[in-house]
Amino acid sequence: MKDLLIVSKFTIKDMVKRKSFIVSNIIFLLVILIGTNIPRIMESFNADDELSRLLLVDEDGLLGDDLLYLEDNKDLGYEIKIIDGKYDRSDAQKAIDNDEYDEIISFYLDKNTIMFDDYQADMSLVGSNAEVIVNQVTSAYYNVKLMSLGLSQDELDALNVNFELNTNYLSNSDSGNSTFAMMMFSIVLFYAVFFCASQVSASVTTEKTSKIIESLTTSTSPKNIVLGKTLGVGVTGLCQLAVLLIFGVICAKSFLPSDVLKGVINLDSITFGVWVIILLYFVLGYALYALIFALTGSLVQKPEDIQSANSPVSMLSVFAFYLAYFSMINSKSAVSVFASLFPFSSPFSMPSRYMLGLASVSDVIISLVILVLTAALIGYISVKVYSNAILNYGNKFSLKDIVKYLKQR
Amino acid sequence: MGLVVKDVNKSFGNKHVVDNISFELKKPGVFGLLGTNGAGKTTTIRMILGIIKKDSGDITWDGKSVTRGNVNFGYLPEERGLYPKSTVYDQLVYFANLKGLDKKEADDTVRYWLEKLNLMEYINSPAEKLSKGNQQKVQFVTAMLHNPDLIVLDEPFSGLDPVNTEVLSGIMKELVSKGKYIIMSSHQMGVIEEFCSDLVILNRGKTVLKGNLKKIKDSYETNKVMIETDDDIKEVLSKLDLEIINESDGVYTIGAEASDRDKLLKELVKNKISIKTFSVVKPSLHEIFIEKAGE
Repeated sequence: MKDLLIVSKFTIKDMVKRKSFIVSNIIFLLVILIGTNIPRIMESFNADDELSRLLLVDEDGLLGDDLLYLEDNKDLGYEIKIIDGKYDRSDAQKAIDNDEYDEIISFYLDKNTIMFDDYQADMSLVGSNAEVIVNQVTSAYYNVKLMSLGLSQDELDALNVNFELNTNYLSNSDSGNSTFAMMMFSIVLFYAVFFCASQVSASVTTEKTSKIIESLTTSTSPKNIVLGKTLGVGVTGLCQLAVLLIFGVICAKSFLPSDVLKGVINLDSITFGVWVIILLYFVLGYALYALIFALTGSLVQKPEDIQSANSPVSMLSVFAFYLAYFSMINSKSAVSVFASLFPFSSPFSMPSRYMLGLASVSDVIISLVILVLTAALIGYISVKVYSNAILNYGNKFSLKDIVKYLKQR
Repeated sequence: MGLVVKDVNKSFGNKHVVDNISFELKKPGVFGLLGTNGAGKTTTIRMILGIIKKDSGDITWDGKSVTRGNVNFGYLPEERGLYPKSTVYDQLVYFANLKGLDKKEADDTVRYWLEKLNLMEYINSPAEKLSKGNQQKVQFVTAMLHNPDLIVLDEPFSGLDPVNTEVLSGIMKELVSKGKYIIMSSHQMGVIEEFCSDLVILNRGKTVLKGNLKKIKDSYETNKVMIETDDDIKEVLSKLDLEIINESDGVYTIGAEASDRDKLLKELVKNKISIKTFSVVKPSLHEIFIEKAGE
């Protein structure tokens, strides 16, 4: 046990002192800081923006003064000027070329249809708000026609009904978290688990290819090396994830407008119990994948072979992740239940299902037991193969070799 | 205390790489393990230290099997390696801790050995910044940190310059004087002759020669004598029909069977040749090695 802790302590020290580790974490923190400030940044840009200049041309004089109120309305994203009279493409071209207006909308009545022509210099990235103007004109024309029927103002107001759509989500969860947010959460867990675990493979391969392993195996047992390394990388990854999450939550609470996350994720609903479940799945999911990566790392002869050795594990993890991810689209399906129990996908599936209120505590316990047993089995196989393969500098390994190593004493 | 290797065998697939090897280290000193490339030296060492399992036979230290728990051993592997990005100090303290030293002991021991091997200036350097020779010395320190009783050195002098060879030689002599048991594998016959009292020569996994080096040399029939003189002895040699193998500044190496030696000495005296040295040339270890391990 003492040696295991010494190995993990050295692994942690070795990792956190690396420039690549320090730089990547600084980048992650900056991304979070900037990401949570994007709404503010955009707002500051918008505040400084001048409104687009719009010329609205009533070619047939259909509405008279009934549209003039738009000239005082700045909420439509335009500074609007309204004129009457014929207006064609060449007039619009001239006005745009002389930079008199940014956009020109003209309209006229053709039989029973109001025809609109919209002129812009080119397709703007911001986009036109022409549809709003069309609605305003249509509405004004409708009012003019109704008034011509001799209706009173009260009758007119009664006909002008506003419509507003409120969508309500009626899931069993009262957590305030959406499926979309949980999908994003699964992605974060997957990348955290996968990238931490793959570090174990790199670390084992470095020891093997730098030939330090022979000195190491005479100083402590292979079991201590594999488990100590797994523990060390895991603790580092966990601390890294914790720092990033805490920093993310602080930034989200400090900088994001309160309504941005409403209906997407409710940070207050992530209780201590939920954090414990997230932590357990991260630790066990990481342990499962890290131990497989330790096995593949011990089989590699040269650093350049590490990618091909890790490919089967990467494919398995990507398959497991997509199983968890896409099953969330229909989170009550049998596939989703399977994904939350299957040990390779449960770390990415069960925490989200639990947060959405789709899994009970007993479901979580069953899933955790399966995960623990699988991790223990993989750990046994990894230590066994590692012990026999680590000093093999010969030819490339095959599956037959793994079976052979497992059979060796 | 003492190491006993008895009837040890090891095969990889169909290849029998160590074939019934036996030897003993019953007293402190340096034991030489010689052999051509692929003779089975490193495999034998790895089996002694329990890095790989033997197929059969016994390896014991003080009557107990050799394990990390039973034997306080230090090992310098043939495959040199350090953590490239870690500092010399960090990795030496790491190994010291793994070998049971606490923080203070580890710090003191690491500094002691780095000082001794003239490596203090590299204490905070990453290993990858050190020369190959200095990396080798750092790895030698990893084998010494816990003051082991049994020291196994696989090719300890390969790649060292003459200055560092001298430094390491001095340390080896010091270790022997402190009563350490050392097994050394080397291709450098001069090194083996300098340090080893006993040795075993392996060829293709088999023992081709073993025992006390002096006795081995004494047991070899020689057909050479060495004469040092300022006089011309060519006439005498010609008379006795003896061949000069080598001549340099009055030192002659002459091919002469045991029966010819007496005749030669008598004839030299009879001819009033002034002789500074007359000695029977014993075979060098190099010659014995070539004879036993050569194809």
